[in-house]
Amino acid sequence: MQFRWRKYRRGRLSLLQATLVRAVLLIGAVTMAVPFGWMVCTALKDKRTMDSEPYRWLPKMPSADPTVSWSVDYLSASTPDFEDVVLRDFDETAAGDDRAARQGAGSLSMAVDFAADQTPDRTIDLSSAELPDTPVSMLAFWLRGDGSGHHLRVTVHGDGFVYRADDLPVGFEGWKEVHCYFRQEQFDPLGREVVPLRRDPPGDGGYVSLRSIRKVELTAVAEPLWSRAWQRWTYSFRKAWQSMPFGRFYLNSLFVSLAVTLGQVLTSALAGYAFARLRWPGRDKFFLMYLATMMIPAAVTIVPTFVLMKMLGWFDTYRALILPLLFSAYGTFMLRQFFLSLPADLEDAARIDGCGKLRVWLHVILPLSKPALATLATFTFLGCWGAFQWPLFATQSMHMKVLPIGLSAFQDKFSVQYNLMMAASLIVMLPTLAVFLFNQRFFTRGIQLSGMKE
Amino acid sequence: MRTFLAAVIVIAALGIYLLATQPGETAREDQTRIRFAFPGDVKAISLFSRLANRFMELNPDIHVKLEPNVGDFRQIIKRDLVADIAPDVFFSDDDYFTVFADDGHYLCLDELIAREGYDTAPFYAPAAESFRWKGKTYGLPFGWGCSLLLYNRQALRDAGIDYDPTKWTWEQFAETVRRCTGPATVKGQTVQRYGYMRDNSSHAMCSLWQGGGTILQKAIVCPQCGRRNDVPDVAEPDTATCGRCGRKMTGGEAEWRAACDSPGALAGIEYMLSLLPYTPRAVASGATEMPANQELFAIGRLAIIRGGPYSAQWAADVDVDWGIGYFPAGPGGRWTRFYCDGFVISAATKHPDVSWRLLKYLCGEDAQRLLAKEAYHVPVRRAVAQSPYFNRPDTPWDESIFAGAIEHVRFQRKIPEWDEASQIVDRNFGLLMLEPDSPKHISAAEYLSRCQREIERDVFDRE
Repeated sequence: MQFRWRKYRRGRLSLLQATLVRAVLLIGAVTMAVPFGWMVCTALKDKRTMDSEPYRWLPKMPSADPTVSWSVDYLSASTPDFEDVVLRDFDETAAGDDRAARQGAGSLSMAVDFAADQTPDRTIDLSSAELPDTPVSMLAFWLRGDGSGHHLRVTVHGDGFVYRADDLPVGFEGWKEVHCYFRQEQFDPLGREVVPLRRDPPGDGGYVSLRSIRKVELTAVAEPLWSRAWQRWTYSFRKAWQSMPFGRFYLNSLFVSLAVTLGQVLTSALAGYAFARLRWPGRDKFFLMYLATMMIPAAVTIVPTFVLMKMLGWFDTYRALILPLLFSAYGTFMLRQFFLSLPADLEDAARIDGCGKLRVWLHVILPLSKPALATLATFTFLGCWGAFQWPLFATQSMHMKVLPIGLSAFQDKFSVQYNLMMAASLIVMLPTLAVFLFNQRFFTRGIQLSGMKE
Repeated sequence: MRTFLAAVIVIAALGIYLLATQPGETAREDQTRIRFAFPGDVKAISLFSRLANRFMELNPDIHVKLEPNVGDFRQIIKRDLVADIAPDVFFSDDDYFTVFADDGHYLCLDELIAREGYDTAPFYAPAAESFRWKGKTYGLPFGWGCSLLLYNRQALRDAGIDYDPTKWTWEQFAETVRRCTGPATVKGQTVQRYGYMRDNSSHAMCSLWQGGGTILQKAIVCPQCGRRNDVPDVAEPDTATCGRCGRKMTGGEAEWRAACDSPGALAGIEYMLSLLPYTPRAVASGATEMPANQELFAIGRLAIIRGGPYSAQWAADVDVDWGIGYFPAGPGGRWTRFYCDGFVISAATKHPDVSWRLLKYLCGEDAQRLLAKEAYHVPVRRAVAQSPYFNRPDTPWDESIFAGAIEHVRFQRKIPEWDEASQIVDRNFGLLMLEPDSPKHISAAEYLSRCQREIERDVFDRE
């Protein structure tokens, strides 16, 4: 909306008023924008920047220094029954109560200067070690990162095979456990770095005999500055995404929200038309009764609806997530009010041209009601995207969960790690933000039409 | 119309894709399918999916469908039990275990245990006891935890404290907390440091125990002489002997009563209140305020914070030189609260034997090793809790002190009436913690006498 300054130029007081109005609006906008800005900035940070003092709004750029200084310690392998076999403890003498001392001493160091073209490899030779002939599912070691963001490449050489991994960005400082999986794990816990290994040549993806492993090669890979900055800024998003099947949750939320939106717009448009335009006995009384259902809180109907879903055998299916939400008294009310505002002459003209009631609805009413339909669609999509209680009740399997439930599970465990929480929240929020931004006018229009937010 | 058609096509395509890519959770014809439900936070999903996968590798005739749940797991299980869709094997914690056991929702395991000679001796005794009710076993424990103290070594050094935090007394702890409170220099800046954090209602119980009090007291009425004998929570009529006639009280009736207003309990609560001036007032005592306290601890502004095994991962990332101590010993002893998680089998399961196999695996040594490595809880099997999988002094995950705390844990049976009693205690605790000039504030004596009166009246229907 364009602000009309001319209107306020008549007198000094009016100009003052205009300035005051603008100032209040500006304060309101900033008040709303600052927390959102904090959320975005926090999501862009890694843990290191989160802990930095004084407080930084934006993450630091990585250093342009072309060196890495890493340490590796305590290489072990894990059997399928979760037993550890220590392959190399570089620090067998250090013990005692001082954590810093015991982690710092005696490890395998990797100080590489990429500019000086040094050999960026360290090889842990296991060929001479007398390893038991036991299957293993994972190699683990402790890595002390320098926060540089350069990559570590892990390669496991064995008898007739090589396992290679995607490069691990070492953006963290201090010691961290690195797990290299020979077999793909479905969900990776946070708090450690996870490296999936791929067999070359491809195999059956089974366990690897420990005795067949000859050496573990650790290679420092130089990364350009922009890539390291990107890795650092997207760290929280990647970590959050890896920790849960957010991809599946995303698609579930999208499918359910779209289906409910489409269905609800359709049923509301049909019902709204019937209540607005068709003449039938008791129409207004029925409408009032239908409207009265809006007074019943959703929490009251959740148990009967659940029982119904269970009786129908729909529990833990998409039907349970979609069908109960297809009918909305609010949508019917909103569209009825809009349909009442359309000139009846258009309808009469269509009738004279031979249109039936359904055709009038489809070819006259609906095209004229696009703003109202878009408004209802926006409201429904936003409501459905953020729905938590019903999806929680109606589903049981992991693959049926929707985003708000995934976010809740995430929040339970990582409420203190704000960068991860904010990244996960942004992932969940982005579609609603896009829908709101593109349909903002419909949103305001909806409030004007019905006098309420759903 | 075009928009509508496009939307229909997108939805249909998405629906087909989602249905086609549903994970293969259906069992093969030669497999028995059982369902396994647990609270589905990130760590639990990772842990239990690995365990279930390995179990299925070892038992190819069984298919385990994982059902991680978020939200209030107790309410979800209640829903499932009421709707008759309970999973075959599911998680239970000691808070609500007796409620469902008393209602007959859990399969009694005594027959299965006796049939196979399954040995529960390797479990820590309070953990195994957590899943027994009225002399019968309804579940096996998986992991336990207790409350401990994490202290900032530098803060204690700054205050000139050299008490052993695993052995300190009430007086020494109070002095430590007092001396740690005040301005301190952290990373070159002068900040206000607090000695300790505020206790919530559950942890106030530790002070109450340390003072020598208790909330609920179990008694068995001797069927021979009619004497009412106060007994420990775990005592059963079949095993306890009467204090007057000296005979076994087999067939005697067990009953519970409130015992909040003893002098020991009063001393405990007054001790807890005496620490309040050295706690951050702005941070309330509820569990939801824990992140705020953790943040204060992480930036060096809180010298001592409550924690447990669950703190290990969080604390490992904190840039503070911290150590772990036990609660201080009062006149009644050095008590801390104990909690235990485990697994039970639904009484309505169609596959009790297969479910029992899964249950045994989940609480077996292999699973306990993974639990120990994941720093999730203290393993209930002593052998694993004392092994290098749990005690790793060469890594930041040295958790032997948690296992050592078993000596100080207080086993409190959460009887079915516990919920109601606990609500009364919580409600009155809120009034106790109000500022003294608040009109609704109550004293420690009033707090305990209210708890006593209300539990007797509202929970046990006794005037």
